[in-house]
Amino acid sequence: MAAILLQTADWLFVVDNLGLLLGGAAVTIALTAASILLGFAVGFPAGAVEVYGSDRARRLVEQVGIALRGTPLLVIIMILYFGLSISSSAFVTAVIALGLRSAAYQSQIFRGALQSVDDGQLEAARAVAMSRFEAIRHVVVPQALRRSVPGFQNEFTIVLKDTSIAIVIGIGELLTTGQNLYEGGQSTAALEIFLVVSLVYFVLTFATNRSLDRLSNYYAVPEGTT
Amino acid sequence: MPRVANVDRRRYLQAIGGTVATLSVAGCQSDSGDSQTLTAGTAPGFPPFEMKQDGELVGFDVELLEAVIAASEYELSGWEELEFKSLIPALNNGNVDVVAAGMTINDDRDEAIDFSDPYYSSNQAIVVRESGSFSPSSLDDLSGATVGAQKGTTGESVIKDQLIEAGTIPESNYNAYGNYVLAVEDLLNENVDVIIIDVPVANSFVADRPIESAFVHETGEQFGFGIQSGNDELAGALNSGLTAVEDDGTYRDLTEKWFGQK
Amino acid sequence: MTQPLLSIDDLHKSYGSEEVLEGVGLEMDQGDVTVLIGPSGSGKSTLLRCVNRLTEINSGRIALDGQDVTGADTDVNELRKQVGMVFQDFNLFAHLTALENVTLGPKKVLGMDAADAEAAGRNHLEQVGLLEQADSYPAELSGGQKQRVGIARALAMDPELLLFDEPTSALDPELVGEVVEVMRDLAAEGITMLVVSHEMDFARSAASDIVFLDDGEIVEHGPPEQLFQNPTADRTEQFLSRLHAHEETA
Repeated sequence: MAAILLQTADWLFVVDNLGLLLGGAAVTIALTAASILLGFAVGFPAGAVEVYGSDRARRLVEQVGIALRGTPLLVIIMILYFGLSISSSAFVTAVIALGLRSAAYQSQIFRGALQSVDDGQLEAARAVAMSRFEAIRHVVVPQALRRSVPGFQNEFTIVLKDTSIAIVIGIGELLTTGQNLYEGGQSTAALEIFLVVSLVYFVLTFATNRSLDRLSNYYAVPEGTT
Repeated sequence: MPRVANVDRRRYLQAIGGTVATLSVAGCQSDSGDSQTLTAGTAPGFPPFEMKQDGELVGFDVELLEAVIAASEYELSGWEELEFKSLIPALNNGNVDVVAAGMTINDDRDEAIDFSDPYYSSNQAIVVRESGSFSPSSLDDLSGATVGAQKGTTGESVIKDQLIEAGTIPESNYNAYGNYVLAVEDLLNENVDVIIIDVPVANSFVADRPIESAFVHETGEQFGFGIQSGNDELAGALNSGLTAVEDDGTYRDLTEKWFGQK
Repeated sequence: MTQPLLSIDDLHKSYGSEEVLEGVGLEMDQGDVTVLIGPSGSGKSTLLRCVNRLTEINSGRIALDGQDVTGADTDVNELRKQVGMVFQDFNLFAHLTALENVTLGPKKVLGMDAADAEAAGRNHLEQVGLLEQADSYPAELSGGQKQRVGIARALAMDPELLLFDEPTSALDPELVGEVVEVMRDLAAEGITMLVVSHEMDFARSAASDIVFLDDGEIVEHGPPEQLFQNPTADRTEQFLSRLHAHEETA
């Protein structure tokens, strides 16, 4: 194993092409960030509707969510790009596909978090004459968001890894760039390339998780000793 | 907490699959204004036909199609790099106008798209380790061996139709790989005895790896450029272009450049 | 005689087929301190929650200042500006400090500006003896402190009527006193209070009217001296004697 890892020619090949790999990483980062944000923008209201909405609204959101969660991401992205052609930009289509699917999963994170907040909180807010909407917004949501951090960190890692699917509509993100390198160039460098690609994914995951941890700690409510 | 879905999951997935197929065939036209400009599509990762080197798209298919189009009245505006399985949906949806991706002409594909005249005959090389003592000279010699090939290629269909079906090897002896490179790696790691890959691809590996081509199996399969069904005008232009490129020696130059030993 | 502040008439409430309130009626004038007593399951808390419509009634009438508040077109949020509530489980907003708990309602609902709300909030916290805990979070407070913040929070909305739903039942015995003391002070200041409680000392000393509820109906009611010394109904006597026995052994 050590002998395999010490193939200098292969490592030099990787170093030479570092720029390309980092370019792919940039695409991966952009895809992930945009998709996660879209997922939040759609997923949080969806989760709230599933907890607080009217029967009809709830049913609708539930069904759409089940459909999105139950359809393979590959199928979603191909239908959106090759079937419905919702955008001429592959990047935009990929963000919509990844974002909507993430929204379907994020809605469950937020639904759980909203439901985990004690009913008494909502009652007390209503008792000081807040409307249902104000009570949810000022009392329940702040607490639910804090409880959503672990689930959200998890979702980020999933979206990050799922971005490699975008190759099917022609987007050259990190994994694709890596594959193209060893397929087209030095095929003996496959292992080295995979190691570097894995390292990049790891760094991205680690950095985001830590940032979210810091954010969570900043906003955390002191626990007290009583 | 399990949620009861009101839709039967398998039926749902089948419906989705059918929808994709239908939509991709029925798909809308691309909006490249000029009907004389073409967008080409390929799936890099198949040397020496199409691959990325130093960030550039290169290969036999790439240069050949560019030469063929140059010899016609059309203009090539650029290349889309997709996964192999996305190429036909992309054609039918108008995202690309012509596909050059080492695509074998067969009846199944003919139903979805049209092809130009064949531009390459694909034969399969049966590749073994140089250091090994295994030297088959025909498919029958592969009895009981472990065999590898890239998923979705002619090599794989040779294995399935001619080795497994004929009973020369059991299905469990076949290893499918995502791409050639992994197949070659496994051959060198002695996880398989033999891999079956296209001759030019094999040649590009045999040059710098301790593997060799034991023999060549002629399949009679041919590559063609893919175009939308019914686009006879483009078909005619491509075919004329091919003839021109063969006549003026460009074709021969390209095969020498990309396939080396022929 | 001006109209009563709170008037409840023939109130009925059922959960499914079980009738929890069977034609309950009572009246309160401004400054009254009415304590509801009775065995558990008698409907005391339900009655209380009907007044600020956290629980909806099946039939009957509740009027605040002469205005019917049980109609479909009543603005429930307006009602709750006039009727505050203190909960058995405190229900303090867990993500906010004591001061923020007290000022949230005035700021968001009454539109008070932040500086005014904070100043008033500190006054209310001082009123309940917790000015020093203004920046503490609920998790950092004892049960008695939490409940006092709850009282300050309800007072901050300047309501006409304060509802107390078993305010000390969830407290350790040694913490009950600090809460009862605050309640006594409020009663002395003339705050109109409708209290569900088992704290008989408070009932005896601070209440203007005791209402005995059993099995969904009001068995009898009267000033504490009369109800405790000379109850007219047998059921009242039985309940009180069970209570005394418990108090003596406690």
